[in-house]
Amino acid sequence: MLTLCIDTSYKYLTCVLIEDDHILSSYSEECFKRQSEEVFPILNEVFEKAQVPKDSIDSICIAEGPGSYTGVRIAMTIAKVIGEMLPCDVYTISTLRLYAAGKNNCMVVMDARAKRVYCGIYDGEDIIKDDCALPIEEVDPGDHLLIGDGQLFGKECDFGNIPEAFLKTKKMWKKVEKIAYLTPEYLKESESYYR
Amino acid sequence: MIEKMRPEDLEEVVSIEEEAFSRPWDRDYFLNELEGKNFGEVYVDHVDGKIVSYGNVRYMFENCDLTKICVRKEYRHQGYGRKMLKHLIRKAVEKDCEFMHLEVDVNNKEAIGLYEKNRFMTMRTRKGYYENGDDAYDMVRGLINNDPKVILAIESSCDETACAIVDEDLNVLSSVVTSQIDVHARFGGVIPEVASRMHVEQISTIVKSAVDQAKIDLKDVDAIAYTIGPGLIGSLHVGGIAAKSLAFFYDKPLIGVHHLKGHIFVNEMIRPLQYPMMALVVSGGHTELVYVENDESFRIIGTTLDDAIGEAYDKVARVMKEAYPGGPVIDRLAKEGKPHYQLPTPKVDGLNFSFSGLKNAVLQLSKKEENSGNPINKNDLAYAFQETALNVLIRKTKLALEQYPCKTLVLAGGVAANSRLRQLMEENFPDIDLVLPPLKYCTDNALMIACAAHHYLKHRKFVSLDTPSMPSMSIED
Repeated sequence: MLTLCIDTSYKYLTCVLIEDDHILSSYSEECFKRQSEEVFPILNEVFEKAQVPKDSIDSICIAEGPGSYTGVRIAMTIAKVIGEMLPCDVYTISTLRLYAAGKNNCMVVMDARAKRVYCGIYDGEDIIKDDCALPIEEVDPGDHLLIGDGQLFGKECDFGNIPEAFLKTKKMWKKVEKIAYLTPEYLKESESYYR
Repeated sequence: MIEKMRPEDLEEVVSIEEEAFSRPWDRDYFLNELEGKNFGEVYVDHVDGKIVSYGNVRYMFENCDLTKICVRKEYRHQGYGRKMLKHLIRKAVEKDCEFMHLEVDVNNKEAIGLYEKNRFMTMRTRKGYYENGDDAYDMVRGLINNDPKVILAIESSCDETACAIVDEDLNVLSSVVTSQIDVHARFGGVIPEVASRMHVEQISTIVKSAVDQAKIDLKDVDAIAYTIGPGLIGSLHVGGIAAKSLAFFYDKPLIGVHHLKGHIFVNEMIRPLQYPMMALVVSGGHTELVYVENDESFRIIGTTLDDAIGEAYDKVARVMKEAYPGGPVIDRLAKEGKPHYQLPTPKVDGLNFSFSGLKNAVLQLSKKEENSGNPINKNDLAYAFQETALNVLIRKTKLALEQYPCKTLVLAGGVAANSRLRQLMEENFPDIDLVLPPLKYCTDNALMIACAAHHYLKHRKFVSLDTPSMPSMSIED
């Protein structure tokens, strides 16, 4: 099975072609707020490097958020349109769970601005604490392995190897039953904009 | 999906054939085609596990004969004949055929119409060709560079998600629009983040319905177009990414269309436009007089210095505690209104506009009446506002045409749906080729983007896959 994986939900632009259990080609660079311009030239590179035709993919897997609203919509739009039209299967994974990469006892944090963080706690395949958006002072990394914007807690900023993370989390990808109904995970309801 | 006929399709094809024709081809004919004895091919279109149509072409060197297209009775008039025809033409092109020939009963107006729309020409009449004595037309079309170009266009600049597929003869193969207006009406205007979210929700469904309704294979589309600007950045993004996804995965050229050129060129649905042309563009975001020298040269000769006219309508409706959007409401109320209130006419020199003074005058008038205990007559207020605002448009347009003589005057944008404005245009411009856009295409849609995109395609004006959306792009760019 040939899968195109894309993550545009935060600082990085990551595009990976995975065939069964190995990576054919990948790209992952910091690209904050330029993903919508960069993503197609990079996809082109990734397909060329792997030497597979674009329409030969069997599925697309994307990071569904949380993250930058504009960012998560990029990969989501590609997956929805191509999944529906090519057609091919679509899988999603939480952005935080992706970055956890199946590691044990880890906390993933991302700067959600306005002194808030997106935060999730994982232990291997298990979700210890669901993804949420919290004020930064309410988050205590404790003795968890800290992944992501560690600098917010006086540690190192480290998102790990995101292409490898797609491969390592393959068992945790969720298959999308109805592509039409797929929406990003914003962790903020549209309703809140009407107040 | 259209595929070459397989042995297991034979019985179904024969039974459709027998139902459709008084003198059907027999089983052996199809069997021979299956075995490749007739130098031809039969294609069948499977939909929901049933064969809905089939077609046969025979190849003879650079020539080919279209000998049959048959659509199952209950699937007629839904575009399946056109879909099969397009497929057979593509197959013939792949085989390097230069001409396609066919005979058709002169009484079969529907089939003749389909062939003519697809660029077949009648060469001669064959007298008494059929056994019942009917005549036949010999029709032929070239297969080299002779197919009308087809564009799939996506529009998402504000609060409508839309996709349309239109060929260069402006046959609308499909046009699908969903509006978010009910959602935004709750807040009295568009909330950008909510609009972006709704575009993502809708986008794949809209594109799929447009392609399904057009009964076209994306491989047969010549270019993908989208609204590159102006508009809400988050909304533009979604349509842009969707269009680029299709252009990338299907290797199609990409066209970034200026939204207002869409509103202008949708007037070609009425008749071809002559240049130079004046366009009065009126919408919730724009009030512009655009001098169009040819289909590549646009010059803004007048614009609003503050609010757009549609914005003024929305704000006046809010003052009157009426629903968003204000345009249709005020248009309706004004029909019942009388000359009663006096509002100052906006005074701006030259060809520019200003509507914020007028909007404030409405606000002050309604406050004054309220304070002195007179209930405001909404109909009369709507009338006073509408007459004042629209007459400014008419006056400036006249002035513009004096300074820039034109052959054609077109009205464009959402406010072009206003009934009083359409009436005033017709009354005031009897001596010019005046084109008013079809009512159903005044609000945002993707068909208009496709209409404009055909001009870009003609001039081979494409954009690359890394082109950013341009939320405040000018029509002059």
